[in-house]
Amino acid sequence: MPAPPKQSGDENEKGGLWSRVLASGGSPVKEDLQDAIHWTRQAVSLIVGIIFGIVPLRGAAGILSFASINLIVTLSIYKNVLRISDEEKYGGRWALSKEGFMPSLFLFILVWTLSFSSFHGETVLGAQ
Amino acid sequence: STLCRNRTGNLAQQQKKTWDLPLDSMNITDAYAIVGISIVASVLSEVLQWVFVYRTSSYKQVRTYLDRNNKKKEKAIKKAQGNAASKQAKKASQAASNLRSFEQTLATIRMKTMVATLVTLVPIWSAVSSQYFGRVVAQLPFTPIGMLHGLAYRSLSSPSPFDCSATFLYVLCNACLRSNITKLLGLAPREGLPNSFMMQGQDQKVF
Repeated sequence: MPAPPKQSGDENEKGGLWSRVLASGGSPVKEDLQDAIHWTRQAVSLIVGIIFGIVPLRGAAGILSFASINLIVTLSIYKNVLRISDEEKYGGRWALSKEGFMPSLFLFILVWTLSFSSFHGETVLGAQ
Repeated sequence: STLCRNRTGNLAQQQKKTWDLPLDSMNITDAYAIVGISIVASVLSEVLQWVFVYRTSSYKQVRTYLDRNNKKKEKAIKKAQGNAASKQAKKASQAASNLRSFEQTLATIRMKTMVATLVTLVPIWSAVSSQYFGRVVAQLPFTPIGMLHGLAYRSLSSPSPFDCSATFLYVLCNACLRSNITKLLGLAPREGLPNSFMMQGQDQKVF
């Protein structure tokens, strides 16, 4: 039987964000779910940015690939990991999909640029 | 290398200034320095907002009053169910009127947070722009689209399509790091400042 949803701000808050969300049985508190999606997106941006900078992947292909990966990971997490059953309770799938997307996009571009410059910057300059 | 007198009066190698280095060389540490500066600026901005706005008892009182009236209004609108002549609709109208009376106070609070932001970000941006004037701080892995050219190549004399100026990097850092730092520090209210109540009253069909 799934555990009852826990409210943020009570004694269970010390369990951590992901502990609360996972223990909620598919009905986490809205703020907790938004935070979980936000930080997941930031982590994806960080990892994908570093990888794309090292590979390197350049141009619009990089941005489009990131957007796809970001969306797929987010949807997978709240469908398969969190098992959110009632999306309307949280404003619908679109509201959840766009939570934290813009900061994650900017973070991806920043990390991608830094990673690319660190590993391949000299090569590009040498080619000019 | 050139010998010169340093601040203590001793002979020393002349330190090369940032603008003395060839402009077509890129030092990646410049980019990381700009990221660090942006983080510090964002943290400072958050702390200033907390000290001068969110920590004050006057803000907390206003916030409590606004939240209470907002909840009353939402509850009354739900109960009125579109009936503009009902008692609930009058209650909602009264709550909305109470909210509008605080518009001036809200505007003052918004102005204070804006000042706290500008006081930190603008001088630091100005310092970064002048320190790294004319220098390529990073290589972009993409070509910026047309309207970003001005920002991406700002202060660069003959930029290649992938050059990144300090200004662009600083703006990018602020765009992504500020929201994350705000969430991490948790000093600002989660839901932010309420929107203006003036338009809300006019849009309500239930009244």
